[in-house]
Amino acid sequence: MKETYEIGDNEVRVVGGDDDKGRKPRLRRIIIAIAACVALAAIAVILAVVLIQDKDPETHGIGTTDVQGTANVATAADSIWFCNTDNSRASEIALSDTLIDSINLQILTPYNVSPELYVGQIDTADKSILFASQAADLARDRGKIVGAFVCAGEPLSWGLSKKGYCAIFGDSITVGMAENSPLFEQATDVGGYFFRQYPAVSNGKMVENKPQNSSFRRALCTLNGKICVIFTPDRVLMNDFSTALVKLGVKDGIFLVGSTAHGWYRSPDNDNVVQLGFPRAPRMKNVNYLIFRRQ
Amino acid sequence: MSEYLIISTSVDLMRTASDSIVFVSSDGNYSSFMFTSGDSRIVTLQLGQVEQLIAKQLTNTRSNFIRLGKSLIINRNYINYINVPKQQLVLSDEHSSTHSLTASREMLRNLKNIIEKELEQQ
Repeated sequence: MKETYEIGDNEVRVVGGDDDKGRKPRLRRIIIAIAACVALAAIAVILAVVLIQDKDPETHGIGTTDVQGTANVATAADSIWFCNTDNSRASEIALSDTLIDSINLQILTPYNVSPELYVGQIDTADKSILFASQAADLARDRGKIVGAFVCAGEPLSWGLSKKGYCAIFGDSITVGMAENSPLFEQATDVGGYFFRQYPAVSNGKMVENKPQNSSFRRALCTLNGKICVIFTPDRVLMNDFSTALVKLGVKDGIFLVGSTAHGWYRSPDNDNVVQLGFPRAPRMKNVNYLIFRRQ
Repeated sequence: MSEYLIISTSVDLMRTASDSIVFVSSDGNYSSFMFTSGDSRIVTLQLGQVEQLIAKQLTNTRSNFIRLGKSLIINRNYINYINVPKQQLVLSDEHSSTHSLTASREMLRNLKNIIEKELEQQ
């Protein structure tokens, strides 16, 4: 399988047709480009591993585990997994807030919870759920889940639409940015969860995104060795939000469905439901949530 | 008589009649086959590699398959409806299996042109 058939974004061709003129020179360029990318990626992975080991030892300290990959060692082994286990705390969502560049950031940090994805209408009266927020986007026309999505080991959607991803295996969760991730296949193997979203921060660097509108933003982030959800009570630009996350110290982060998307958390003070968006869930078949369950 | 596409990896082997494939979609390094039965199967090959295998193995029926951009290979026998403005492509065996896909307008326009041109040549 030495050759890869090259094709443009909007190109259409009959398989096995005669339209292969000029393919080889372009193929050679692509092979060189791919080789260069692989070399750069290898260097980046080595640097990342060195930086993580040398400069950020606490990231591994609190409920984190390195997972050895099976299909793509470079990507999976580089994933850092979070559990937010803290024996001194109850199973709860802690709320804090801060101001970065005039952007109000509300930080929800779950402790001792079991993360999962849930497809379908969610019951806010279910007291086992401490946090819920719409996870993957739905296509506006037919309501299909956008991008690869695995729920309890069952793949429900395929395709790369956004480079950010979140994977959940057991009580461990990771977020990152990659075009291809073996975690999709691993999630199907181990009964895990996987979804795609816009990346916000990758390895401590802000990731630019095309949407330019102001809106309420939500992101699933890794901050100070913990997984957390950060949202804005005010409308902000996507890229301004990502920049603020970087300044806050977020290492990796992906957006969750923002704006007025349905979502809520249980207050640690009185267990009451605090709404994040519209209080009513959208009546769509594939509406899906990232939820944190009480352990 | 049906031709069979065989995809073999180090751990498994998939053998499927070419006319049971409705479409193949890409997920990065993986490709997902959708069959007329409604079943789907993921293989650890890129879509370009699947296209190569179709071109190599299905000597009589490979021209039934059309590559649409980077993300799809469809079986033209199941093209049921194309709506360019709505970016809609419906693949159906007109019995039990119907799949509605989204593609770019330009891609659907090109697909429509290919089918229309072939009609003129008949």
